Parts: sequence; C-alpha cells; structure tokens
Amino acid sequence: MIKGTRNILAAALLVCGLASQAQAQGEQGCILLKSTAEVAKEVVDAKGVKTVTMVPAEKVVPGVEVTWTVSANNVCKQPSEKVTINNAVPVHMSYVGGSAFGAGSDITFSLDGKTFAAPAQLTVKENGVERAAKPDEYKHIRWVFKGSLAPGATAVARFRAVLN
Amino acid sequence: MFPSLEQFKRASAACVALGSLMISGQALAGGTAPNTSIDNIASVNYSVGGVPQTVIRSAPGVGNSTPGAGGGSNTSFVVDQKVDLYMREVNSAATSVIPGSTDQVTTFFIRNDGNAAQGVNLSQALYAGAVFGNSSSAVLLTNVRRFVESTAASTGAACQSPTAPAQPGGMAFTLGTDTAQNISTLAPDTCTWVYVVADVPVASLNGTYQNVELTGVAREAVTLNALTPNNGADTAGVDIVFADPSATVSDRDQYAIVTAAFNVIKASSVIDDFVSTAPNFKPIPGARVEYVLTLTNNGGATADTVAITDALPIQTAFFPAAYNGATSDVSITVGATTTFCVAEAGGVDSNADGCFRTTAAGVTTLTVRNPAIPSVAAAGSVTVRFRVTIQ
Repeated sequence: MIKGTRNILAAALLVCGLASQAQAQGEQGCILLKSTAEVAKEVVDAKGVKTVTMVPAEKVVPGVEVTWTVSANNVCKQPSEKVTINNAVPVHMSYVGGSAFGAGSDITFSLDGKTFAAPAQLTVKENGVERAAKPDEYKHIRWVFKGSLAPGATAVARFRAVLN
Repeated sequence: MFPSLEQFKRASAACVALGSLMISGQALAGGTAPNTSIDNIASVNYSVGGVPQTVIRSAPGVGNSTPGAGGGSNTSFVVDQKVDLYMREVNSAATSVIPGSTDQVTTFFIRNDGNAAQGVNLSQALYAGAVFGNSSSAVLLTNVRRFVESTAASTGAACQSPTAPAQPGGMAFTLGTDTAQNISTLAPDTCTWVYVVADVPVASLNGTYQNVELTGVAREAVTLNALTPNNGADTAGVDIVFADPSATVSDRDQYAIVTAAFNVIKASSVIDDFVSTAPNFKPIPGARVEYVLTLTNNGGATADTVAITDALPIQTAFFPAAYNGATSDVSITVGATTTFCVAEAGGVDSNADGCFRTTAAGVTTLTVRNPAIPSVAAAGSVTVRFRVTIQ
C-alpha cells in the first residue's frame, strides 16, 4: 500500500512537472505555447477613415481593454489530443464577460481555481444570499479543445480583460 | 511509468491540488498604480498517442515548448500613468448676489480620476458665453479671484456622487483661511473644492447675470512642473497618457444679480369736500384728500430698509390723526395687516416709530421708514396712506 502511494505521488509530481530534477534538460514538448497581449488602436488615415488595428499592449492605463491570445502550435509529427489551455485572469485585471473565444473548444471558468463551470453555474454567496458570479469575479479560464490537434496546426484561445 | 490508468487518474487529481495557486488581487479604486507590471502566463495540458504529456507554459514572442516549471515566461506590460482630472461647478445653479456685495462665491468640484497623484494649476476668468441659458450683462464683476479649499482632500463616497458633490457638511469658503491659488497634490480618487470669489458692482441690475470660468491644468505633483505626454511608441519606463486634451479641464458657473426693485404708484382721491354729497367730492379748498402710495417689490431680493419720503404739494397741509381712532397720522398695510405711525412735525422722530415730517421753505416732506415700514419681500407690496387738506 505504501509503495503504491509513493508511486502515485511520484507520478503526480512528474505530471505536474513540479520536481524539476525528474525532467530531462532541454527536452522539448510537442506544443509551442505563445501568449500575447494586445490593445485596439484606432488609426485615422489621410481621408479621415478610421480603422482599428490590434497592436502590442502599450500605453495601457486603467480602463484600457487588453486582448490576451494564447496559441498552441503542434510542433511534433504526431497529433496532440485533449489539448487544454488554462489561463488565470491576470492580477489587476477584470475579465470582460463573453469575450472568451476558442474555435473548437468548450470554455469554462473558475472563481477559485478548483471548480470550473459554465457561467450559468458559477455562483457567489453575498450577505448570505447566493447570486450569479459577475464576470469580473472570474479568476481562471479553461479551453478544452475537442478532437485532436494535427501536426503543424495551431489551436487559439483568446479573451479580453480590462486593466483596473 | 503508470502501473494502471486508475493510479494515473489519482495522480492527476493530486496534481491539481498541489498545483493550484490562488491569487486574489484587490484593484485600487482609482486605478492600478503606474509602473505596476501586469504579468500573464498560460499553460497547456495535452496527450500524444493517449499518453498525457508534461504541462507546457507559455512565453511571449516565439513562444515556449520546454515542458515543466522551468519552461515559459510571463507575457508582461507595464502600467503607464493616466492623467485624468474631473471638474464640475457644484449645484448646477447660479449663486444669487446683491449689488454692492463683496467676496461672493461660486464653488467648483475637482477630482483626480487618474492613477497617480497630480498637482493642478488653476486660473479663473469672466466668461463671455452663456451659462444656464443666460449671458453676462455689461456690468462686470470685479476683483475676480480663486482659492482652493484648505481642508485636506476628501475621498470615497464624498467624491463620487452626484455629478458634482457639494462640500461635506460645514465646509465653506472662508476668506483668509482658504488662500492657496493652485493644488499642490491631489492623490488618485481624492477630491477637493475650488472657489471663484468676486465683488458685485453697485450698478449691477436686478435680473442680470455674470458668468465665470475656472480652468485646471494637471501638473507634476508638488513641483507643479508641466507634464509631457508620450504620444509616440511605448517606452520601457512609465509613459504619461493624457485622458483630457492637454490635461486641461474647465467648467463655468454663474452669479445671478438680485435686488429689490420698487414700483411706486401714487393715487389720490378726495374723500370729503364738506359741501357735496358722496361720491361727487371735488378738490376745492378745505377738501380732504387721501394719498395712497403702493410700493411693489419687483426685484428678486427682499428689501430690508425701505424709506419713503414724499413732498406734499404746496397747496396742501398735512392732516394729522386721520387714522386709528384719530390717534395716528399714517396707515401702513402689508397683506391683511395694517399698522400706524405718528408723523411728528419738526423733523425729529421723537417716538421712534419711523415716521416724521419736516417743513422747509414752505414745503412739507413726510418720511415713513423702519420700523413703520417692514421689509418687503420679492413680489411683496406695502401700501401707505396719509391725508392732506387743500388750502
């Protein structure tokens, strides 16, 4: 029994990657994971026509909305399955309700990092009364991509948050 | 590596428990402070050929594919400085002032809606345009000054609503105490009040208006040095971003000139000529004439001290004791209330009831004033009656 428990713990540490010595140095995984922060910039051309382009986050002051994009590119020769992207809503930011997007994924949210659910199931107890959680109370977002990610293909997860 | 699928599932559950990290950040109400680094790192779990792989963390730029806690790095940006002032005149209405009054006050509310402390340079001026639908009249206010409330800035609910909160109870402009010309430093989410103070010329007319404007320019806190915004590419340090054009805010307010403005109607009627029968009395020598003076205050302010002087026609003589059971000389009526006074001859109001008469070079002048005449409110009127005999 004790031997079995030790194996589970070791397995857990390996899966979590928390025991750095267990990792082979320089070993590459099959996903190249990139995260970008962008803001919308309005550009007015010589004719006065306004267009909005996304540029790297700059001049970010309270009240500005930032678009976070996580892209998972399969860099191996085999397909990847059960691709799940997790992203905590950054500290000092508030998630913009309805902004999470990821083609081919199921998106859930968490208030505590443990329980993930659709917005309709997320509740908060305030003064003894249970109410629906507000989007700015979501702390984590999870995208579970259905199907498999072919070699060379990229799965994209995106959400917007406002700087407090 | 995994003796059974069952053991792997329990390992994964343990992983979630060990790996979950709760971060709860409390946002500053006024905004995250400048130079704060906003960091974000995502992670991906996946399987290959049915075998779960080590989690990979994200990185900016080209990204990261090194598994485990050693791989990946934060995607970050630095919070810049937002310069954002809010200024509004308080109470959305004009301040009523009386001609000849000094140090009359209009009040402005100012709040720092940015994320860093700022100083504010202020300036005041007469405003040529319309405020509340009224333009300024030709008689301009004089000695237009500005002063910042000397009490420490307020914060919280006192700064938030309504559109321009009035000062907390008891706080008001105090000449000599509120002396600062500019705001040295106003922290984010705090607010204070600025007073425009002016003198009203005696020549100002009832029902006219004078408009003023207060302007504030955000400056570096304490030094009040000018701020330089960065309108170009983001720099590695803290950039200054102006939420208001030229970091300038302004608003306008109004003084409404109100004073008493009397309309006087003088009527006379022969009440008896001692010869004819009523109502056919004629103004013949010996006839008794009653004068009725009706004073109406068409102004916007109460008249406190009203004095009537009336020179009787040379052909008449004042008839005393005409009222109040032959004890009083003049009758004064305001609304339903009638009072009386004795107008002593000789120019001295011996009984101090407000009435007396003076005779000089053959002309008798009747004076009726306080306390015989009460103050007359705006739209109010007072009627004074006295009698003479035609000589």
